[in-house]
Amino acid sequence: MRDDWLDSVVRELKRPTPVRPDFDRRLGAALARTPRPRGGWLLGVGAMAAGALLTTFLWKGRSRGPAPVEFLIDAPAARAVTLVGDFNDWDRRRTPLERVIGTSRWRARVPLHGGLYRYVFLVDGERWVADSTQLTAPDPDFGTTVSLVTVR
Amino acid sequence: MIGLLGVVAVLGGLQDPEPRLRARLDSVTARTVEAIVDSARIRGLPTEPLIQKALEGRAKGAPGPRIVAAVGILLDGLRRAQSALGPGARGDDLLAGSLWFRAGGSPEQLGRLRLAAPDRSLAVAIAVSAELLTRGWPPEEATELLERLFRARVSDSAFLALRTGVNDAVRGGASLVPAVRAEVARLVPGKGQVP
Repeated sequence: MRDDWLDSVVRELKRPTPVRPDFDRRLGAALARTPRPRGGWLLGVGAMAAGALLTTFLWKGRSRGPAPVEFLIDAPAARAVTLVGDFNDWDRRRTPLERVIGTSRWRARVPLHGGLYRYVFLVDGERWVADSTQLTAPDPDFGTTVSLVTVR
Repeated sequence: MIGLLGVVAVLGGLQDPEPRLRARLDSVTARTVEAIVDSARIRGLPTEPLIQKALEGRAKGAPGPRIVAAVGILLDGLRRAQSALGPGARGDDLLAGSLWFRAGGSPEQLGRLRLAAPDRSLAVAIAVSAELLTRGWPPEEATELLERLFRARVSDSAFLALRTGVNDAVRGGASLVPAVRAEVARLVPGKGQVP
């Protein structure tokens, strides 16, 4: 079904518009006569300063990543120690600790964003051990004490 | 059109199932925990602590009903903490507030702490205090001394140092409550006496 009115609009849009040969010259002259706003340089400097501030702000926001947090436990008889907590979905396989060579200590570094996290060490896959150097909270739900770490 | 917008809004409000729960929990437990998580989301409460609580239960081998109960108790703690601390409270403060309740503190006392420190994070101070409550520090005395410490603008690191000082004193043979009072007096001279 044809729409005569729509066809006429399309034809009008496609019709070439004649431009006088001296159009560019006359447009340039008209722009040259137009007074520029006073203080334009000030606006330019302001815009540049705002841009610099915004860039700095965005860069800082982007660079504020997780902070490495070190977890340590002294477990001389342990064969393996893992770290489980709110930061690794309580997955006992995800964050194994490494034994510090020549000592009885085990260590892991975990990048953490700001927040309050609950965690515990799992020694030899069967013994839940709270971090005695950190805040602790009893866990009456599951029967073990958990440790707390806060990251700013 | 309005009806279509309504449908889109409703669909937008629905959340996908939490894959971590589906992957680790049996289907009944996962669905129940998801319902609790949705309830928290609707109330504007943080949901991640609830998910982590469920995953903790799974890691510790707890049966499904116990996991659901634990997540429900935490939801109640977060909700009561939100009532005490205000709707704009940070997630960390709410989680610490739930610890405060589990340690024997009341919502009224938690609300007094918010009034004493309206502009700062309470998480560290409350977590330190909750630990001391579980060891025998009376909640009412704790609240009054915390109000003083907040008004004196004691920092988070000072609260952690207070805990260390208390532990050192207890290891040296002191009783807990006198040790806490002595540490408070060190931070706010003349203010460590029992209120």
